[in-house]
Amino acid sequence: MSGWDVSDADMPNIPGSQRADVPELPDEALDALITGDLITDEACAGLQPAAALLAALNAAPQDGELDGHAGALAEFRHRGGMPVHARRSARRRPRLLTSLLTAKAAAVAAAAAVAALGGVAAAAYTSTLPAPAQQFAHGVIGAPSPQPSHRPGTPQATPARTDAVGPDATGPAASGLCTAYAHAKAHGTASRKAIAFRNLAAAAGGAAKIAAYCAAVSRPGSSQSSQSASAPTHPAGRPTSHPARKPSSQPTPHSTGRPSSAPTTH
Amino acid sequence: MIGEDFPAFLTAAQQGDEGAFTVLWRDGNPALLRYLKVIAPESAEDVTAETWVTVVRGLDRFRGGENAWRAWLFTTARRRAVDEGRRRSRRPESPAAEVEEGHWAEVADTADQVLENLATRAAIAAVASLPPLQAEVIMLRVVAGLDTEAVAQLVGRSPGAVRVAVHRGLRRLAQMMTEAGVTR
Repeated sequence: MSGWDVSDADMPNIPGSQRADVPELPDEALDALITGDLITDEACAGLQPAAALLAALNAAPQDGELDGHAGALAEFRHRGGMPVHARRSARRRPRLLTSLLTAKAAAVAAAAAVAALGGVAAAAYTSTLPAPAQQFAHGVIGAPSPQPSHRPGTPQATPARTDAVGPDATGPAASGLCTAYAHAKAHGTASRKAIAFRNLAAAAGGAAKIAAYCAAVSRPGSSQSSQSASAPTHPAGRPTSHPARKPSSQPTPHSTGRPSSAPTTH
Repeated sequence: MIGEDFPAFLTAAQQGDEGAFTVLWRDGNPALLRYLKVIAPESAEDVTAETWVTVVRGLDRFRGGENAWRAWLFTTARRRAVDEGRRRSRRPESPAAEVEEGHWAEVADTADQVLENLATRAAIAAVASLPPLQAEVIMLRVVAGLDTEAVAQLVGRSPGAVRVAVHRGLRRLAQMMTEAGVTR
């Protein structure tokens, strides 16, 4: 990340001669302001009144701030489909089809039908076929099953799912938010703490409901996931209306919720 | 912030899991919007949406932890704003003009509760009234949750310059709050 386009407009509007008047703000002082703690550094104590303003900056998601979800999700669904890779992969698809079908003698008749349909593979991958056709494509070419499903191109990486896609109140999303907050509270910086808290409060439906919310949520991979019938429902913005069944493809590979090969974080 | 489960959500999203992507989106979108309302107020929603388009397309290639992820999100947002020439290049004609009398009191009153839309809008408007660098680094430190080094790299300044700009901006904000009768 280099070569930033830094324009003159980025320069502070205050003349440089004043620069010496304002020392660097220690990171700890800003962290204290963000979490609403008192600033211990006396030189910065005058900043305390800004704390309320910073808290407002970090408040839970509000009206309109989650409105773009449908658009982003549509983009996400299409990323391996039409707009990004599709034109490329669509050209490869017939060959893939052929080899797959050659191996499946029983599907030879079906192969003709699929081939005759031309763009059916692409359509199948974007789940736009009628359910029976989609199911057929699912069985023959590994396209997604009729219900919402995994990204094309890596059918083996993500088992085809026929049930909930989360996140829901009992699923990994809620667990992640609770875990994130607990972790941030114990180890995180002030800003991490504030952000984790904001997200969790939003999901729980209010700061006061966090304890009950997290108590009802189990960690990913836990066998309790499907038992939390009394868990609070997910707030508005929930991406799907699927029943809160336990997803068949947990994002976490084992019960601690920690991937065994986590990318490094710094 | 998502925390220690972030790698699992990222991996699942990269494999096409919509629920995992939604977690990432919900975590990042409000912060992106608030940041862009400060640096590109006329087109914050558009740039936010375009940022996600870019991020989604590059998702498979992304490698790194959550700090790197957030740095990428906000780097992308900043680029989109700059590329389109929609970035605010000077301070608003009438600083904090959108902040009406009485809103400051609400900023303070609601600070300990689940905050009201009004308080956040007023706070964003107050930050936007600062000189651009001060406003941007405050949003990146406070709302994006980036550390000083990441912010410095993102805005192309030294960490020291970032800390000075944060300090200067916060002084002005504290002064605004004090003038409005907010003492805590």
